[in-house]
Amino acid sequence: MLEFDFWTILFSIINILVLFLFLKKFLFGRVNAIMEERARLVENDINKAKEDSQQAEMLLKEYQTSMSGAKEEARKLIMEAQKNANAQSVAITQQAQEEASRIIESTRQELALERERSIASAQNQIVSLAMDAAEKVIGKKIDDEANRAIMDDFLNEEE
Amino acid sequence: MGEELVSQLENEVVFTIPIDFPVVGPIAIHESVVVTWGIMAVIMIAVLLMTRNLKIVPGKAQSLLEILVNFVYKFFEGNTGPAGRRYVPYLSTVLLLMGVSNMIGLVGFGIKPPTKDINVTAAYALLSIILIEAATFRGNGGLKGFLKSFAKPIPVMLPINIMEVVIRPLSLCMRLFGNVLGAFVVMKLIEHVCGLIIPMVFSMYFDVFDGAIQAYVFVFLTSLFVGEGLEEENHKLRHSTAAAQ
Repeated sequence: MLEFDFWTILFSIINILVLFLFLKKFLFGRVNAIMEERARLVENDINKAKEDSQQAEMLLKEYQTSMSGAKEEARKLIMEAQKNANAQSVAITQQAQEEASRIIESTRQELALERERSIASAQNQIVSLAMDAAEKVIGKKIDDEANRAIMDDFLNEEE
Repeated sequence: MGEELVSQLENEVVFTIPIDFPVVGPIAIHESVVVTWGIMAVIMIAVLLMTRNLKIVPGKAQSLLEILVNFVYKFFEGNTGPAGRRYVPYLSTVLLLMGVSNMIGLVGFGIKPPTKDINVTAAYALLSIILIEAATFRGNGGLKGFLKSFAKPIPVMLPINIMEVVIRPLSLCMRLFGNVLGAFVVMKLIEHVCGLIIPMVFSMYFDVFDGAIQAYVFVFLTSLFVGEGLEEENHKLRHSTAAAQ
Protein backbone atom coordinates (compact mmCIF):
# COMPACT_ATOMS: atom_id res chain seq x y z
CA MET A 1 0.00 0.00 0.00
CA LEU A 2 2.72 2.47 0.89
CA GLU A 3 5.44 1.05 -1.27
CA PHE A 4 7.15 3.44 -3.64
CA ASP A 5 7.41 2.23 -7.19
CA PHE A 6 9.70 4.20 -9.48
CA TRP A 7 7.95 3.10 -12.65
CA THR A 8 4.51 4.12 -11.46
CA ILE A 9 5.83 7.56 -10.54
CA LEU A 10 7.56 7.89 -13.90
CA PHE A 11 4.52 6.73 -15.86
CA SER A 12 2.27 9.02 -13.87
CA ILE A 13 4.54 11.98 -14.62
CA ILE A 14 4.55 11.04 -18.30
CA ASN A 15 0.75 10.71 -18.21
CA ILE A 16 0.32 14.16 -16.71
CA LEU A 17 2.78 15.76 -19.12
CA VAL A 18 1.20 14.05 -22.14
CA LEU A 19 -2.26 15.19 -21.13
CA PHE A 20 -0.87 18.68 -20.43
CA LEU A 21 0.69 18.95 -23.88
CA PHE A 22 -2.47 17.58 -25.45
CA LEU A 23 -4.74 20.03 -23.66
CA LYS A 24 -2.34 22.90 -24.29
CA LYS A 25 -2.46 22.26 -28.02
CA PHE A 26 -6.01 21.13 -28.58
CA LEU A 27 -7.98 22.84 -25.82
CA PHE A 28 -6.19 26.04 -24.82
CA GLY A 29 -4.44 26.51 -28.15
CA ARG A 30 -7.60 26.23 -30.18
CA VAL A 31 -9.87 28.15 -27.83
CA ASN A 32 -7.37 30.97 -27.32
CA ALA A 33 -6.69 31.14 -31.05
CA ILE A 34 -10.36 31.51 -31.89
CA MET A 35 -10.88 34.09 -29.16
CA GLU A 36 -7.86 36.08 -30.31
CA GLU A 37 -9.06 35.92 -33.88
CA ARG A 38 -12.45 37.20 -32.78
CA ALA A 39 -10.86 40.01 -30.80
CA ARG A 40 -8.74 40.94 -33.80
CA LEU A 41 -11.76 40.88 -36.08
CA VAL A 42 -13.74 43.14 -33.78
CA GLU A 43 -10.79 45.50 -33.48
CA ASN A 44 -10.41 45.58 -37.26
CA ASP A 45 -14.10 46.33 -37.66
CA ILE A 46 -13.94 49.15 -35.16
CA ASN A 47 -10.84 50.58 -36.80
CA LYS A 48 -12.46 50.31 -40.23
CA ALA A 49 -15.59 52.06 -39.01
CA LYS A 50 -13.48 54.82 -37.50
CA GLU A 51 -11.56 55.20 -40.74
CA ASP A 52 -14.77 55.25 -42.77
CA SER A 53 -16.33 57.94 -40.65
CA GLN A 54 -13.16 59.99 -40.87
CA GLN A 55 -13.19 59.65 -44.63
CA ALA A 56 -16.84 60.60 -44.79
CA GLU A 57 -16.17 63.67 -42.71
CA MET A 58 -13.30 64.61 -44.99
CA LEU A 59 -15.50 64.16 -48.07
CA LEU A 60 -18.20 66.28 -46.50
CA LYS A 61 -15.72 69.03 -45.75
CA GLU A 62 -14.37 68.83 -49.28
CA TYR A 63 -17.87 68.99 -50.68
CA GLN A 64 -18.72 71.93 -48.50
CA THR A 65 -15.65 73.88 -49.57
CA SER A 66 -16.27 73.10 -53.23
CA MET A 67 -19.90 74.11 -52.84
CA SER A 68 -19.02 77.44 -51.27
CA GLY A 69 -16.38 77.91 -53.98
CA ALA A 70 -18.98 77.27 -56.65
CA LYS A 71 -21.35 79.73 -55.03
CA GLU A 72 -18.63 82.36 -54.98
CA GLU A 73 -17.84 81.60 -58.59
CA ALA A 74 -21.47 81.92 -59.59
CA ARG A 75 -21.81 85.20 -57.73
CA LYS A 76 -18.72 86.50 -59.48
CA LEU A 77 -20.01 85.41 -62.87
CA ILE A 78 -23.36 87.08 -62.33
CA MET A 79 -21.70 90.25 -61.16
CA GLU A 80 -19.43 90.27 -64.17
CA ALA A 81 -22.32 89.65 -66.51
CA GLN A 82 -24.24 92.45 -64.89
CA LYS A 83 -21.30 94.77 -65.24
CA ASN A 84 -20.87 93.76 -68.85
CA ALA A 85 -24.53 94.31 -69.56
CA ASN A 86 -24.45 97.70 -67.87
CA ALA A 87 -21.42 98.74 -69.83
CA GLN A 88 -22.95 97.50 -73.04
CA SER A 89 -26.24 99.30 -72.42
CA VAL A 90 -24.39 102.49 -71.61
CA ALA A 91 -22.33 102.11 -74.76
CA ILE A 92 -25.38 101.42 -76.89
CA THR A 93 -27.28 104.35 -75.46
CA GLN A 94 -24.35 106.62 -76.02
CA GLN A 95 -23.93 105.38 -79.53
CA ALA A 96 -27.63 105.90 -80.22
CA GLN A 97 -27.50 109.38 -78.79
CA GLU A 98 -24.48 110.21 -80.91
CA GLU A 99 -26.18 108.82 -83.95
CA ALA A 100 -29.31 110.78 -83.24
CA SER A 101 -27.46 114.04 -82.68
CA ARG A 102 -25.47 113.42 -85.85
CA ILE A 103 -28.64 112.87 -87.83
CA ILE A 104 -30.22 115.95 -86.31
CA GLU A 105 -27.17 118.01 -87.12
CA SER A 106 -26.97 116.84 -90.71
CA THR A 107 -30.67 117.40 -91.18
CA ARG A 108 -30.36 120.87 -89.79
CA GLN A 109 -27.47 121.62 -92.13
CA GLU A 110 -29.39 120.28 -95.06
CA LEU A 111 -32.37 122.35 -94.14
CA ALA A 112 -30.26 125.48 -93.86
CA LEU A 113 -28.68 124.75 -97.21
CA GLU A 114 -32.08 124.23 -98.81
CA ARG A 115 -33.38 127.44 -97.35
CA GLU A 116 -30.43 129.39 -98.63
CA ARG A 117 -30.80 127.84 -101.97
CA SER A 118 -34.50 128.60 -102.17
CA ILE A 119 -33.90 132.17 -100.99
CA ALA A 120 -31.25 132.55 -103.66
CA SER A 121 -33.55 131.26 -106.37
CA ALA A 122 -36.35 133.47 -105.11
CA GLN A 123 -34.03 136.46 -105.24
CA ASN A 124 -33.11 135.56 -108.77
CA GLN A 125 -36.70 135.40 -109.82
CA ILE A 126 -37.56 138.60 -107.99
CA VAL A 127 -34.70 140.33 -109.79
CA SER A 128 -35.85 138.97 -113.12
CA LEU A 129 -39.40 140.04 -112.34
CA ALA A 130 -38.32 143.46 -111.26
CA MET A 131 -36.25 143.89 -114.38
CA ASP A 132 -39.10 142.67 -116.55
CA ALA A 133 -41.37 145.12 -114.82
CA ALA A 134 -38.89 147.95 -115.18
CA GLU A 135 -38.44 147.18 -118.90
CA LYS A 136 -42.13 147.39 -119.38
CA VAL A 137 -42.25 150.65 -117.50
CA ILE A 138 -39.36 152.23 -119.35
CA GLY A 139 -40.14 150.56 -122.57
CA LYS A 140 -36.69 149.72 -123.41
CA LYS A 141 -34.22 147.06 -122.87
CA ILE A 142 -32.21 147.58 -119.76
CA ASP A 143 -28.55 146.81 -119.73
CA ASP A 144 -28.62 143.46 -118.14
CA GLU A 145 -25.41 143.34 -116.31
CA ALA A 146 -25.41 146.68 -114.67
CA ASN A 147 -29.03 146.72 -113.72
CA ARG A 148 -29.01 143.31 -112.31
CA ALA A 149 -26.20 144.35 -109.99
CA ILE A 150 -28.22 147.38 -108.90
CA MET A 151 -31.20 145.19 -108.19
CA ASP A 152 -29.21 142.80 -106.27
CA ASP A 153 -27.82 145.60 -104.16
CA PHE A 154 -31.31 146.87 -103.57
CA LEU A 155 -32.59 143.53 -102.56
CA ASN A 156 -29.70 143.00 -100.27
CA GLU A 157 -30.34 146.33 -98.65
CA GLU A 158 -33.91 145.32 -98.12
CA GLU A 159 -32.93 142.31 -96.18
CA MET B 1 -13.61 -8.70 5.90
CA GLY B 2 -10.15 -7.53 6.79
CA GLU B 3 -8.58 -9.59 4.09
CA GLU B 4 -11.01 -8.35 1.49
CA LEU B 5 -10.34 -4.74 2.44
CA VAL B 6 -6.60 -5.28 2.25
CA SER B 7 -7.01 -6.83 -1.19
CA GLN B 8 -9.04 -3.77 -2.25
CA LEU B 9 -6.25 -1.53 -1.04
CA GLU B 10 -3.73 -3.47 -3.02
CA ASN B 11 -2.51 -1.68 -6.12
CA GLU B 12 -2.48 -4.59 -8.49
CA VAL B 13 -0.06 -5.10 -11.31
CA VAL B 14 -2.19 -5.18 -14.44
CA PHE B 15 0.51 -6.41 -16.77
CA THR B 16 4.23 -6.53 -17.09
CA ILE B 17 6.08 -5.34 -20.15
CA PRO B 18 7.53 -8.69 -21.15
CA ILE B 19 10.94 -7.40 -22.06
CA ASP B 20 13.85 -8.08 -19.79
CA PHE B 21 15.35 -4.58 -19.74
CA PRO B 22 18.99 -4.46 -18.71
CA VAL B 23 19.57 -3.45 -15.07
CA VAL B 24 15.89 -2.82 -14.24
CA GLY B 25 14.36 -6.01 -15.52
CA PRO B 26 10.75 -6.28 -16.72
CA ILE B 27 8.60 -3.22 -15.97
CA ALA B 28 5.35 -3.82 -14.08
CA ILE B 29 2.44 -1.57 -15.07
CA HIS B 30 0.16 -0.95 -12.11
CA GLU B 31 -3.59 -0.50 -12.01
CA SER B 32 -3.36 3.21 -11.20
CA VAL B 33 -1.42 3.92 -14.40
CA VAL B 34 -3.84 1.94 -16.56
CA VAL B 35 -6.88 3.68 -15.04
CA THR B 36 -5.19 7.03 -15.69
CA TRP B 37 -4.73 6.04 -19.32
CA GLY B 38 -8.42 5.33 -19.58
CA ILE B 39 -9.28 8.70 -18.02
CA MET B 40 -6.86 10.45 -20.35
CA ALA B 41 -8.37 8.75 -23.39
CA VAL B 42 -11.86 9.88 -22.41
CA ILE B 43 -10.69 13.44 -21.73
CA MET B 44 -8.79 13.59 -25.02
CA ILE B 45 -11.74 12.35 -27.05
CA ALA B 46 -14.09 14.78 -25.29
CA VAL B 47 -11.72 17.69 -25.91
CA LEU B 48 -11.27 16.78 -29.55
CA LEU B 49 -15.04 16.60 -29.98
CA MET B 50 -15.60 19.94 -28.23
CA THR B 51 -12.87 21.86 -30.05
CA ARG B 52 -13.50 20.19 -33.38
CA ASN B 53 -15.13 23.01 -35.24
CA LEU B 54 -14.62 26.29 -33.43
CA LYS B 55 -16.20 29.31 -35.07
CA ILE B 56 -15.80 33.07 -34.79
CA VAL B 57 -19.48 33.27 -33.96
CA PRO B 58 -19.79 30.62 -31.26
CA GLY B 59 -22.64 28.19 -30.80
CA LYS B 60 -23.97 27.21 -27.39
CA ALA B 61 -21.43 24.45 -26.75
CA GLN B 62 -18.54 26.62 -27.85
CA SER B 63 -19.74 29.52 -25.71
CA LEU B 64 -19.84 27.24 -22.69
CA LEU B 65 -16.35 25.97 -23.48
CA GLU B 66 -15.02 29.51 -23.82
CA ILE B 67 -16.65 30.54 -20.57
CA LEU B 68 -15.03 27.58 -18.83
CA VAL B 69 -11.60 28.34 -20.29
CA ASN B 70 -11.93 32.00 -19.32
CA PHE B 71 -13.07 30.95 -15.88
CA VAL B 72 -10.01 28.78 -15.20
CA TYR B 73 -7.75 31.55 -16.48
CA LYS B 74 -9.41 34.03 -14.15
CA PHE B 75 -9.36 31.63 -11.23
CA PHE B 76 -5.67 30.73 -11.52
CA GLU B 77 -4.57 34.25 -12.34
CA GLY B 78 -6.27 35.32 -9.14
CA ASN B 79 -3.74 33.17 -7.28
CA THR B 80 -0.65 33.49 -9.42
CA GLY B 81 -1.04 37.08 -10.60
CA PRO B 82 -0.89 38.16 -14.23
CA ALA B 83 2.58 36.67 -14.76
CA GLY B 84 1.22 33.21 -13.98
CA ARG B 85 -0.97 33.17 -17.09
CA ARG B 86 1.53 30.91 -18.87
CA TYR B 87 1.12 28.21 -16.20
CA VAL B 88 -2.67 28.07 -16.43
CA PRO B 89 -2.83 25.24 -19.00
CA TYR B 90 -0.71 23.00 -16.76
CA LEU B 91 -2.64 23.87 -13.61
CA SER B 92 -5.96 23.23 -15.37
CA THR B 93 -4.67 19.91 -16.66
CA VAL B 94 -3.83 18.85 -13.12
CA LEU B 95 -7.19 20.05 -11.85
CA LEU B 96 -9.07 18.14 -14.52
CA LEU B 97 -7.08 14.91 -14.41
CA MET B 98 -6.92 14.85 -10.62
CA GLY B 99 -10.59 15.73 -10.21
CA VAL B 100 -11.67 12.95 -12.54
CA SER B 101 -9.18 10.56 -10.94
CA ASN B 102 -10.56 11.28 -7.46
CA MET B 103 -14.14 10.66 -8.57
CA ILE B 104 -13.56 7.74 -10.92
CA GLY B 105 -14.73 5.32 -8.17
CA LEU B 106 -18.28 6.47 -8.97
CA VAL B 107 -18.14 4.66 -12.29
CA GLY B 108 -18.11 1.33 -10.51
CA PHE B 109 -16.83 -1.88 -12.14
CA GLY B 110 -14.31 -2.07 -9.31
CA ILE B 111 -12.34 0.86 -10.74
CA LYS B 112 -10.27 2.41 -7.97
CA PRO B 113 -9.17 6.04 -7.99
CA PRO B 114 -5.55 6.26 -9.20
CA THR B 115 -4.91 8.99 -6.64
CA LYS B 116 -5.21 6.47 -3.83
CA ASP B 117 -1.82 5.23 -5.05
CA ILE B 118 0.86 7.28 -3.30
CA ASN B 119 3.11 6.97 -6.36
CA VAL B 120 0.59 8.89 -8.45
CA THR B 121 0.18 11.66 -5.89
CA ALA B 122 3.97 11.76 -5.59
CA ALA B 123 4.15 12.32 -9.34
CA TYR B 124 1.72 15.23 -9.10
CA ALA B 125 3.65 16.69 -6.16
CA LEU B 126 7.01 16.33 -7.93
CA LEU B 127 5.73 18.15 -10.98
CA SER B 128 4.19 20.80 -8.73
CA ILE B 129 7.44 21.55 -6.91
CA ILE B 130 9.32 21.65 -10.22
CA LEU B 131 6.75 24.12 -11.50
CA ILE B 132 6.92 26.20 -8.32
CA GLU B 133 10.72 26.39 -8.35
CA ALA B 134 10.84 27.06 -12.09
CA ALA B 135 8.33 29.88 -11.67
CA THR B 136 10.34 31.27 -8.75
CA PHE B 137 13.51 31.07 -10.87
CA ARG B 138 11.91 32.87 -13.77
CA GLY B 139 9.94 35.32 -11.66
CA ASN B 140 13.09 36.48 -9.88
CA GLY B 141 14.97 36.88 -13.13
CA GLY B 142 17.64 34.18 -13.03
CA LEU B 143 19.83 32.27 -10.62
CA LYS B 144 20.88 35.22 -8.48
CA GLY B 145 17.33 36.32 -7.82
CA PHE B 146 16.27 32.72 -7.30
CA LEU B 147 18.89 32.16 -4.60
CA LYS B 148 18.11 35.50 -3.02
CA SER B 149 14.44 34.55 -2.83
CA PHE B 150 15.36 31.97 -0.17
CA ALA B 151 16.38 34.76 2.18
CA LYS B 152 13.04 36.52 1.91
CA PRO B 153 11.33 38.17 3.62
CA ILE B 154 14.14 38.11 6.22
CA PRO B 155 17.42 36.13 6.18
CA VAL B 156 16.37 34.22 9.34
CA MET B 157 13.82 32.43 7.15
CA LEU B 158 16.59 30.81 5.08
CA PRO B 159 16.47 27.32 6.68
CA ILE B 160 12.70 27.29 6.68
CA ASN B 161 12.58 28.34 3.03
CA ILE B 162 15.01 25.58 2.08
CA MET B 163 13.00 23.01 4.01
CA GLU B 164 9.89 24.20 2.23
CA VAL B 165 11.28 22.88 -1.05
CA VAL B 166 10.81 19.40 0.42
CA ILE B 167 7.90 20.05 2.73
CA ARG B 168 5.64 21.56 0.12
CA PRO B 169 5.57 18.60 -2.29
CA LEU B 170 5.53 16.16 0.60
CA SER B 171 2.49 17.81 2.17
CA LEU B 172 0.76 18.08 -1.20
CA CYS B 173 1.44 14.42 -1.93
CA MET B 174 0.46 13.14 1.48
CA ARG B 175 -2.66 15.28 1.84
CA LEU B 176 -4.06 14.05 -1.44
CA PHE B 177 -3.05 10.46 -0.88
CA GLY B 178 -4.38 10.40 2.69
CA ASN B 179 -7.70 11.97 1.81
CA VAL B 180 -8.42 9.79 -1.19
CA LEU B 181 -7.26 6.64 0.57
CA GLY B 182 -9.22 7.54 3.69
CA ALA B 183 -12.36 8.20 1.68
CA PHE B 184 -11.83 4.98 -0.22
CA VAL B 185 -11.43 2.92 2.96
CA VAL B 186 -14.46 4.50 4.65
CA MET B 187 -16.57 3.91 1.54
CA LYS B 188 -15.51 0.28 1.33
CA LEU B 189 -16.40 -0.19 5.00
CA ILE B 190 -19.82 1.42 4.55
CA GLU B 191 -20.50 -0.65 1.46
CA HIS B 192 -19.52 -3.75 3.43
CA VAL B 193 -21.80 -2.93 6.32
CA CYS B 194 -24.97 -1.63 4.69
CA GLY B 195 -26.19 -2.76 1.32
CA LEU B 196 -26.65 -0.52 -1.69
CA ILE B 197 -28.70 2.64 -1.04
CA ILE B 198 -27.02 4.18 2.01
CA PRO B 199 -23.51 4.07 0.49
CA MET B 200 -24.76 6.25 -2.37
CA VAL B 201 -25.45 9.08 0.05
CA PHE B 202 -22.02 8.77 1.60
CA SER B 203 -20.47 8.40 -1.81
CA MET B 204 -21.80 11.87 -2.62
CA TYR B 205 -19.65 13.20 0.18
CA PHE B 206 -16.60 10.98 0.06
CA ASP B 207 -16.24 10.57 -3.67
CA VAL B 208 -17.75 13.68 -5.21
CA PHE B 209 -17.33 16.40 -2.61
CA ASP B 210 -14.06 15.26 -1.09
CA GLY B 211 -12.63 14.35 -4.48
CA ALA B 212 -13.42 17.76 -5.90
CA ILE B 213 -12.20 19.56 -2.78
CA GLN B 214 -8.91 17.69 -2.77
CA ALA B 215 -8.22 18.40 -6.43
CA TYR B 216 -9.17 22.03 -5.84
CA VAL B 217 -6.93 22.31 -2.76
CA PHE B 218 -4.01 20.75 -4.62
CA VAL B 219 -4.08 23.15 -7.58
CA PHE B 220 -5.05 26.05 -5.34
CA LEU B 221 -1.96 25.57 -3.16
CA THR B 222 0.27 24.96 -6.17
CA SER B 223 -0.93 28.13 -7.88
CA LEU B 224 -0.55 30.05 -4.62
CA PHE B 225 3.07 28.92 -4.28
CA VAL B 226 3.67 29.76 -7.93
CA GLY B 227 2.20 33.20 -7.31
CA GLU B 228 4.53 33.63 -4.35
CA GLY B 229 7.51 32.88 -6.59
CA LEU B 230 6.23 35.30 -9.24
CA GLU B 231 5.73 38.18 -6.81
CA GLU B 232 8.50 40.30 -8.26
CA GLU B 233 7.49 39.75 -11.88
CA ASN B 234 3.87 40.46 -11.03
CA HIS B 235 4.93 43.66 -9.33
CA LYS B 236 6.85 44.72 -12.42
CA LEU B 237 3.98 43.76 -14.71
CA ARG B 238 1.43 45.68 -12.68
CA HIS B 239 3.79 48.62 -12.51
CA SER B 240 4.34 48.66 -16.27
CA THR B 241 0.63 48.35 -17.05
CA ALA B 242 -0.14 51.08 -14.54
CA ALA B 243 2.50 53.26 -16.18
CA ALA B 244 1.09 52.49 -19.60
CA GLN B 245 -2.34 53.67 -18.61
